[in-house]
Amino acid sequence: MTAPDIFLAQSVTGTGELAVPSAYRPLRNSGSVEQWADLADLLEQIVRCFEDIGRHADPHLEGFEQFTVSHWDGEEAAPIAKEDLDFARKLLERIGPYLPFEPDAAPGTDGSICMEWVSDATVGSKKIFVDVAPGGAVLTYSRLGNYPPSEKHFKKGDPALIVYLRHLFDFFATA
Amino acid sequence: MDAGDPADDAETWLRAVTNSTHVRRGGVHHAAFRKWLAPRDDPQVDWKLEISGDLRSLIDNVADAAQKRVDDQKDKFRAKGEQVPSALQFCGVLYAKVAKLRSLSQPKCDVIYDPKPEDNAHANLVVRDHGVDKILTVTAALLDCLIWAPKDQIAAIQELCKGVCGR
Repeated sequence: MTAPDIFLAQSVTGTGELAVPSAYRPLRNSGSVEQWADLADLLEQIVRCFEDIGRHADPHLEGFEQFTVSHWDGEEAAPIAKEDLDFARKLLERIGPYLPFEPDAAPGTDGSICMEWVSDATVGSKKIFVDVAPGGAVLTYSRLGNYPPSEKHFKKGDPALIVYLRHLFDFFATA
Repeated sequence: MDAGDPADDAETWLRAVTNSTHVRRGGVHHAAFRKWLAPRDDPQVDWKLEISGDLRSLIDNVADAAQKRVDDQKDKFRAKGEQVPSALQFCGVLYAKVAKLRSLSQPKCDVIYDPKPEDNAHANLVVRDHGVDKILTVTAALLDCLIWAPKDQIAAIQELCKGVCGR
């Protein structure tokens, strides 16, 4: 369950099909003018719900803007390009439903965005690395239980990247 | 031991980590380690990747040597009239017995003595069978093999204490 899913689960009262958001108030239903007011009321409630979700959701790669300047490490680090950061965030959004948890992400001194998912299982540790590197490359590495490690490099625009990562994280959940 | 000689099996190879941005969750993140691994400097050598470090037996005190390195870096900033970055600090070391590194089935590793004028203990951990096309594979394997010792635990670790190698 992703963080937004958890928030939604916490923000309702009751269980099953009858569960309703805690901010819910019954609609009035007595006349057409009031029906419009009710609709506006409902929309307002929906907007409030989404605002709440936005406040609680953990945005991907939060705080990485600080690495978009040169020498962010106090030494020779290259800045992360804004377009690479945007790409990494979009990538995480697109594979979001398949991710077991948020990545442990760190900047590379070459300006890359390096993400890792590590989990220990009875069949051995499971590990996936995804690095969005400057120059348009995405490096991936996986070692899932007893299966041999695999490393594949993609171009950013390669449609096979998303398919491959979804497959990889699907496997991560079951291997 | 001369430059270019393989290190003794009983030696310990180590790399001091002197920047706090490289350390995450009680260890070194692969983002930092991947950048330390570099293609060989010398095209004549028979390995593909190398990473700088030191031989334990040639250092009097691991923590003191690392702290001196940090102090030297700070002095360079001061000499240029620049602010000293707070990230510059001795955080700990990654280390492993040379025999353990050589015993890895993949990648094929060795430790080669490579003294520098400013660092007589300098030695490269080298990778013979994989190049940059397998940089994350090598990174993951070496991070699994190397042991992380935070600076406040170094004094209690036998391999990092003087005299263990009998030299």
